[in-house]
Amino acid sequence: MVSSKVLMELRGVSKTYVNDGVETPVLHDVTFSMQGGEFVALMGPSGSGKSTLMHLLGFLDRITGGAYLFRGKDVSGLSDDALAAMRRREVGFVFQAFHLLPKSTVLDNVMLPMVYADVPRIERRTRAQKALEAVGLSHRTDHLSNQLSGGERQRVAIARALVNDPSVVFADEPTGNLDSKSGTAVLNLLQSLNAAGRTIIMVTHETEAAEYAGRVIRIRDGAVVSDTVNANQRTGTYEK
Amino acid sequence: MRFSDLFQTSSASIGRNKSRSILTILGIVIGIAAVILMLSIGQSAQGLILSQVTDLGSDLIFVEPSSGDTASNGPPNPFVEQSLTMDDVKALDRSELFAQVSAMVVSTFAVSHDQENKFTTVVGVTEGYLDVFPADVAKGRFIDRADVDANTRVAVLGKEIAENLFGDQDPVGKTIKIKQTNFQVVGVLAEQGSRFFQNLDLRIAVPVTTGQQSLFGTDTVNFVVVKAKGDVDYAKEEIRWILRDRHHIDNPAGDPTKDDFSVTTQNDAVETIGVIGGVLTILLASIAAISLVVGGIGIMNIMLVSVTERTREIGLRKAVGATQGDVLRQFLVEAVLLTSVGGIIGVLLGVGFSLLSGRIIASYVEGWDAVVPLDAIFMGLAVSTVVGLVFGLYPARRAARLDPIEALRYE
Repeated sequence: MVSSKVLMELRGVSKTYVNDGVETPVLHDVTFSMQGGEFVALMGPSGSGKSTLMHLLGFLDRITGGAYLFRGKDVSGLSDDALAAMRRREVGFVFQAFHLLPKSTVLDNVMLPMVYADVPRIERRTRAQKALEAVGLSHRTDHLSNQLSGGERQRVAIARALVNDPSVVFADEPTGNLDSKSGTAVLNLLQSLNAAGRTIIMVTHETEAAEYAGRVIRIRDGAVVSDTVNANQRTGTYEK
Repeated sequence: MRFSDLFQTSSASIGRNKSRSILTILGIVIGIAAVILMLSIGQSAQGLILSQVTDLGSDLIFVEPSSGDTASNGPPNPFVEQSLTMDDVKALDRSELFAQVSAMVVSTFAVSHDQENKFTTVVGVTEGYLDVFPADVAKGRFIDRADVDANTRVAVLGKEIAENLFGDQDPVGKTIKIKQTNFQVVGVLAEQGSRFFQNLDLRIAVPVTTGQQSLFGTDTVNFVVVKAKGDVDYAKEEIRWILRDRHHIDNPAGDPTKDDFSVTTQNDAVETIGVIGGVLTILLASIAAISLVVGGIGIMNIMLVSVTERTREIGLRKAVGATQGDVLRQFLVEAVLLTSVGGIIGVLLGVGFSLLSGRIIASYVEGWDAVVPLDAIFMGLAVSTVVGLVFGLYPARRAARLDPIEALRYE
């Protein structure tokens, strides 16, 4: 377990997109740090910059100002290949739109990150099966991913995010495309993973969903407006 | 990313779009198959001509009238002056260096017997004809020295023209009309088949002197065939000296363009055929290159479509840790797999069609031996792979450079 140690730290981070000479600031002066084992919700309305923040934290994008320390090391100057290496070693992603390969089996989808992490073939299968067990889908291994329900798909995506044993799991609006029942299952799953020591960062615009996290960081217009500990974490049923 | 994973990923995505993949590689398949078929036919034809030339014997020397270097004689003359006469032939015949000297005049005339009328090739020959173009006399006799000297009106028929004119009858002793002149048939040759795409069995031989006088109305001959006794090159020079002397050509340097005749041997012909073969190969290779470029553009087009369609997949692969190189290699291997599978199918089809066409041609052309060139097969496989690399590179780079965030959001 990697808890109670600073895992990520943002110091005065800003992000500005430049398109045809026009500068669009998206984030400015974002400062906070996170410890291993936290379950953080990044909350804000659409266009607030919360997704951009997640992309920066998840090594999908680079900051344009300030500093981003991961495990104490500045990662803002990494090359594309080094960022790709960070993504496959340190993070796992769960997306609103699931992003499963439609004509591949559940098992193949879950094994995909291990292809790039150079995990030996024999190990891939056992690790993928374990991850599917953890999300309660071991009976679906050989189904094609487009034969599954939305809730099942999102659980496959979670299994895929877990399979390389990442330091952080990022969930970008994980309940956005799900009904209340499936959403509950996904949020409960994230909570139980967190309880087992996994660091989770969830991006959401729904207050209800954010209540499942242990800490809520609210973003508005590209800046952090509040950072609160949610002592009374919600459990059980989630309603849209 | 391991190569086995790369291969599996690429082949799986090709397999997911089977019908499109098949249509995509069709251009390559047709291109490669066509190249192999063309090269096979070209080489088979070259082989056939070579075998017929070498059949003639390496000691034969062909002497033909030639305009020589027309540049020094004013404007180019399309008509080659018939410079060889029977006196030239007799002069050559007197030399000790030649085993046989045979002169020929050739043209096509109407030939008839009773109600049967045919247009066929009539050759005026000397008695040595059968020494240079071997054939068996099936019935009667061939033209002899006495016929040539006395201008007798006798003819020897090829097997097929004999059947055409006389049917089941024995032609020997009968009379045929060639260009209104009566000739007595003295012999029939056995079957000879074709040479240089001419059916020798349809020919009629007459004494060269009679032919010149009664049919051709000329005192020249179309060509002279000399059979050398010893060294062929030495004999060639001897022919040149004799003819230059007789034609009063001042050519001490031995420049062949100054002569009014040309002297060639089987070796010269083989060389010429080799040159023609080389030009043919270059021509076919150019056509092949064009067809493969067209096929390659097809591949590039489909790969670009595929990259666009799979933008989200590319985004996901990058999100789970694929590097630009991983994505580049995946699409490049996909393109190369497509083209090399196309190449393999093309080679198989090309070889199949070559053998099939070889059989069909062989049933019309005697002595045709279908050759499937091995180097063309290897070239086909290599070229198809290179086409995949070249035309797959641009789409693959496009895929590799996609921004992961935008790719994931792509609708």
